[in-house]
Amino acid sequence: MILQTQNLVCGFNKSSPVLEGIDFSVAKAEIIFILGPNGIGKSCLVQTLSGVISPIAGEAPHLELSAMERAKLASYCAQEVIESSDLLVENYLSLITPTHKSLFDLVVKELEIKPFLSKSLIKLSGGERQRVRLGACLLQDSKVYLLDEPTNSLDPKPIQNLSRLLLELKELSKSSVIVSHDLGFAINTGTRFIGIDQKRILFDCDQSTLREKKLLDQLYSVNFNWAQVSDSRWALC
Amino acid sequence: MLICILLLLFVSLLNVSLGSADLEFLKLFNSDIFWQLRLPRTLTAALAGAVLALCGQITQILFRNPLATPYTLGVASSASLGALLAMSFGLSWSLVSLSALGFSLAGIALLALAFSLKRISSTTMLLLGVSLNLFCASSISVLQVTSGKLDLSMFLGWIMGSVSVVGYDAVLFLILPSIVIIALSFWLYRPPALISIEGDFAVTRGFNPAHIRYLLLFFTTVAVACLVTKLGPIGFIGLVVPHFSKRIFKSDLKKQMFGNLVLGALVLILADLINRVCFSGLGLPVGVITTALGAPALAIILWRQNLN
Repeated sequence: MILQTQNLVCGFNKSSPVLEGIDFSVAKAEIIFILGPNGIGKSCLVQTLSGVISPIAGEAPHLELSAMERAKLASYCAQEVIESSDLLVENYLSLITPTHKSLFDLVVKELEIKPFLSKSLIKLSGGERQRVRLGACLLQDSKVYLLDEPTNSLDPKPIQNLSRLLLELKELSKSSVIVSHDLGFAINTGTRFIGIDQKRILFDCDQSTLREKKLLDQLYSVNFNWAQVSDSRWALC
Repeated sequence: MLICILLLLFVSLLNVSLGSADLEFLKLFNSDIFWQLRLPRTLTAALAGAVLALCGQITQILFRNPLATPYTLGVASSASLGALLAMSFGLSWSLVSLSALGFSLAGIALLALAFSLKRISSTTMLLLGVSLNLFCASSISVLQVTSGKLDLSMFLGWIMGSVSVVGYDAVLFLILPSIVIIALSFWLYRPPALISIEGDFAVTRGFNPAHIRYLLLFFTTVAVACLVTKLGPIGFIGLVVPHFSKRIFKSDLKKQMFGNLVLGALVLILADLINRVCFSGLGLPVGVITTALGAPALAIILWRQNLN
């Protein structure tokens, strides 16, 4: 297990926890999607896992690690956008450690960052900035990536590229824990799906169970139809 | 960068050679005026300007806010309050310095405590600093009016900030905290650079953003408090110079930091030079000049920034 939590209680305020009794673990080469309606505490969970906020109770041994060790274990990409910094993209990316050349090349190629490496962050468009932020997260050579709404402000093509990149990283036995409201992206990228509702984990399953048991319908109170586009691709409508 | 360094050397040279006593160069070189007045004065100005500008940049980075400086955070005014309190009790200079240092550290500790008790945003922390600043400023006014033991003209000269030192006391006093903050900010370079982009979310980058903020803020406070005690709160350099250096040394933080050292020194020596040459009869403290030049300069920068 790369990452494990036991009976984790998360929230911004001790008196009113957002999530309770969260037990889950991340193994090698998994892509886990955290799903649930708006404001249910998905971001709160990844913020706790990454160490932005401390857990109210429960165990998460990786949070006891030193900052250096934690960086080798996990890399986090927050939902919040970068504030105006006039540093160049390449300067920003050069600050990320640990990383190595092949990982750098793979990430820069898949996210198509090369054309604006020598632009300053402040001059990028929203989508370009999001790709740089994802790049800065993914090229850190960690075992698990914690991504909060990675597809925000991305067009369909960069979303496809991101999906492919995450699967390639999975082949390198890296894992991802992703919060997303983009269900099309989720069902075609994820290997495991965790649904959160009413402060607890509602389900934790693979894609076929998610589809067959109509778990998404229950989670979002919407009737979804799963349409098979090709061998491995599905569309929700 | 080279141009800035050459300019700095040129202005320093002017500052040591010009003054109310008009001496030939050789004579000057052998005189006490050079060794005991102008050289230490120029060195003090260089050191103070460089450190103020760098500390301004560090605080702006740590708070990701272009208005954050040790002054807006209340470091300088709590140091002033500490110094003034000690002065009004008629204590010796070393106790005055100690009191200034103690007060400014207490001010920052108060902010840090507020930050750790409640998860407040860096903007809120900055606003708390501003209120600390205002509180100290009003306490200073009260003391000024009520304290009988205070030499008001001396105090007024001090509160505007001045580099008119005699001998090397000030230089020796300031050199250690200056070296520490300069070395620390260049050595630590990576964490503050990442904080400037990712803020408190830089938690998986191999350092703790809160710890880095406390550490740098602590040494910034010590350096600025030492400056304030010795020279008075010299205004505006920490706020304006980082904006200049941002414009000139775009997009490379290390160059910006180095640029701040050079430009900060340059600006303060220049202000001192203008003060001594143009207003020699008035005996104005140099802080008046930096503020009088700094305020319009900041306005122009912000105006142009908005136009872009």
